[in-house]
Amino acid sequence: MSLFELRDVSYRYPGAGRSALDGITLDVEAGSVFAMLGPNGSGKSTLLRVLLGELETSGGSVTFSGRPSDSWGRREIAMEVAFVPQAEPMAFPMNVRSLVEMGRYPHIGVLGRMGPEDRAAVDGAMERAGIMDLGGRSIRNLSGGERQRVRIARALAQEPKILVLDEPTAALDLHFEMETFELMRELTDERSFTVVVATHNLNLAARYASRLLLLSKGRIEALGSPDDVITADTIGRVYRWPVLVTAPEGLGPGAGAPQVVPLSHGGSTSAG
Amino acid sequence: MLLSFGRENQMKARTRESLAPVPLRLRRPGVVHTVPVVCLLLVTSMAACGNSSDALPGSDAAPMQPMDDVARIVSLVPSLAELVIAIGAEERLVARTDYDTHPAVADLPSIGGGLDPSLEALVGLDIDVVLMPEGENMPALAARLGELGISAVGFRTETVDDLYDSIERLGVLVDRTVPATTLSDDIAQRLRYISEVIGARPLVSVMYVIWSDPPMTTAAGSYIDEVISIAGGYNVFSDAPMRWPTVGFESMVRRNPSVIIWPRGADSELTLDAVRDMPGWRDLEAVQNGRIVFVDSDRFNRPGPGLADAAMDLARALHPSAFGGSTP
Amino acid sequence: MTRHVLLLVGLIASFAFSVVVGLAVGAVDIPIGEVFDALLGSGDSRIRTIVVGLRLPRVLLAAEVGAGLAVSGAVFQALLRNPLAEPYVLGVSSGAAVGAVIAIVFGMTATSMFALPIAAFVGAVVAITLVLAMAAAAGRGLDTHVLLLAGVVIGAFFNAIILLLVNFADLETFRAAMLWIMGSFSGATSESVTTVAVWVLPALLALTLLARPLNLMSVGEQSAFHLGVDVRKLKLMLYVGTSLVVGVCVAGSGAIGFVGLVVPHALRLVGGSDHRWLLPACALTGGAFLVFADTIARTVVAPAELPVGVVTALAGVPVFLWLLIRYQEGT
Repeated sequence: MSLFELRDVSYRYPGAGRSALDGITLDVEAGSVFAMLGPNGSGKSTLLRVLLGELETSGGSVTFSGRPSDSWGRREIAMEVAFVPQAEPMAFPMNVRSLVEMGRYPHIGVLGRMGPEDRAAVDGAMERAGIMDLGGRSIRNLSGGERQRVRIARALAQEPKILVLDEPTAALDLHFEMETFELMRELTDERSFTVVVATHNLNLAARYASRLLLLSKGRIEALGSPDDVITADTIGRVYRWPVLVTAPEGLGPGAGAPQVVPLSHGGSTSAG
Repeated sequence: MLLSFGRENQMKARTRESLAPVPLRLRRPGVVHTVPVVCLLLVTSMAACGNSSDALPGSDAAPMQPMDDVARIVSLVPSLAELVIAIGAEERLVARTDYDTHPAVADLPSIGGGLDPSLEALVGLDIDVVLMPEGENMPALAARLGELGISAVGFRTETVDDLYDSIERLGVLVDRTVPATTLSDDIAQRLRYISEVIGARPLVSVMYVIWSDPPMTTAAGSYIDEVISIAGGYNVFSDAPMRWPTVGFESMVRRNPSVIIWPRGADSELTLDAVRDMPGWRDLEAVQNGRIVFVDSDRFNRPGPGLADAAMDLARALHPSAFGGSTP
Repeated sequence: MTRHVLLLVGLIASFAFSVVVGLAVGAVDIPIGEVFDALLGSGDSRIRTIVVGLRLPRVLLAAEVGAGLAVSGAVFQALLRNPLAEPYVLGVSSGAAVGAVIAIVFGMTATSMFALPIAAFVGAVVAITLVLAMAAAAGRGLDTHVLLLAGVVIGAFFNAIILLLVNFADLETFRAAMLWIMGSFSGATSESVTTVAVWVLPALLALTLLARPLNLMSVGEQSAFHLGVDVRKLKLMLYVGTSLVVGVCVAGSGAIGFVGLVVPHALRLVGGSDHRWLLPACALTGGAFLVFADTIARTVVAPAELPVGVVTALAGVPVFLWLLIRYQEGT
């Protein structure tokens, strides 16, 4: 049984001219990294929100662990699935530890108290995300990469089985980008986590994910292993830019994964 | 600002103190008087010109009963206090408001702004009766005073007829019916005199200036409008849809009052020359001709014992030839 | 954590102190011993009337309204994720003012002492309903930007109605309306104290219990949703409930400004934004602040009174600036 099953899902934002998602059918299996790719406006974020029950589909069904996703209670689902947003509009600065402790809310609830197992979960999450030394600091003084790690720590503190990340590295530098993807791989290797990540970074997705989904204008363009999805034809057509696909050696784990190299105009092209 | 009430010793010497136990000490008003006083003075003095005709509970229904001799009275508006003084019952007044200027009450402790008095001060001074003008807020205040054991008596203070009515009722209240009748008769007689002297002279067109920027005046139904009629004038804005309309200079020019009546306070130094410099005002014929009559704002604000004097002064200004004077 | 406990203890002490000062000080000088006698029921009956019949209701009402406004301000700031939010941001005070002005202009206050506060409350409810309806009609489920805009628009509309009404009224009515809008506790009675308490105190308790989800909401609605908060239900409950608290406070004492904006900010600077500490702290500080402000308002030019909103602004600004300078450097 797949973790997530989507059957012919479509979604249209109220008042929008066209559907944001159309005819999406896919399965997400447990224990792997599943990457969603696609140009801006292709529907990646919408698909994530539909997956997590934040949006109600206009058509089709979404099943999580065998049950329809709208039959899950909010806290129930939050104990299984943790979401890491790209950014947060936080109005008032809070300190790092308080933010990570928020991850225990699904377990504690409105009136509960933090017990020893909650504190242990928070400590473990902060260590995993590499922010043990940032505990007392205010989020306001941290860099973008550090803030992202705080959000990841909070998600890990939920002790979920599934981690969903929405463009986690869009604003981060190379160091933090690599750290984040490495973390995703470690989690799936060690703890049989499932990771669903929407990202712009085709190359890292190809190296770290076992299955890729390529969306374009709300429809599935390609679904499968990195080799199936990352081809010069497909990428060139969807991103409307000529590219070259190679498979360099010596990259460590994930070696042999197809890597995309965009061409300049004036270079030889295979697609129009 | 927490000065204690320093005039206690003086107070003890006055006879009215022997009527009741020594009242509790009040704080003297602090130095920071100006801002709230300016705002409230402006609005209150204009508010004093008119209010609704809602009756206070019981004030019209039950006939006025005289209060016993030891009743300690305060009036929330100066005009009522002045009426009490005019009918010879000033010893009943044991407090005043911040706006009372009559010398007979100048030494009395103050209970605050008048239309929202300090309840604490009223209780502390052992006030038995509060004289108040009728208006929207007054029933609520009267009920609150009732809870504190203080009687509230309402008086209409809007028109000349209200004045006669108030004099009569006050006379009964403080058991001075004879002086009250004398006062009413005197006022009525002097107003008749003014009418006779003016005779059939054409009415002089006037505009009464409540405020100059933007220009605000009064329409029919207000006390001021009545006094203008009595004095042989006619208010060019008496037909305005609201009682206190703000008017435009265009209308003022079109209606072209021949005299402008300008109230000013006792300390004001406003002069004709100053008005001649004011934009808008300087375009009016009346201003250019120097026909501005300055009147005492205190006397014109509410009907009070000075009504006849006010009417007389205005009549003299509008019809100088009738009274043997020359054009001012 | 201990820091918060210490701060709360300090705030309780200052609240108690403000109540004592409010009862002991007034237009009439009363020695403190006699104040306590009066509270216990003995002593001169005039003094009892002043202390128990006049000062006590004022102090209690000021405490309740101060607590209600400060907590409401904190909650709106969290929900709207905007530091400039304050209790009147959704047009509540304008609605209440229209209700009150209508009652004054049409002479309803002549018939009943309760006409005015009831009309004010009805006006507040109408305003909240319009704002929430506008936001819901925009179709994005109480989106914060739409709410803020609707609040501004409805508030402006109601303000225009007030001006229209007072333009046609006579000047005494005008004055009464303006004075009501500026806010005052001089009309406090045991009835008004009880009525406000019945609404405000349970609401404050409920809001404090909801502190955790509120913390999550202030980080971001999407994040709160994914952490298990029923965002739609919580928003509706909080907006409606908090607006009603504000409506009751304004109906009881007019639209007193500054408390709901500045008290939460000052406390955030001192102790952070965790609403489990912030909301009780706001209640204590808002209450104490308004009791002090009312005491100053009724003694500094005694026996006349300043509008209490003037005192809250004049007193509050320097205190807030000092806090800003002192605590900004630290972090």
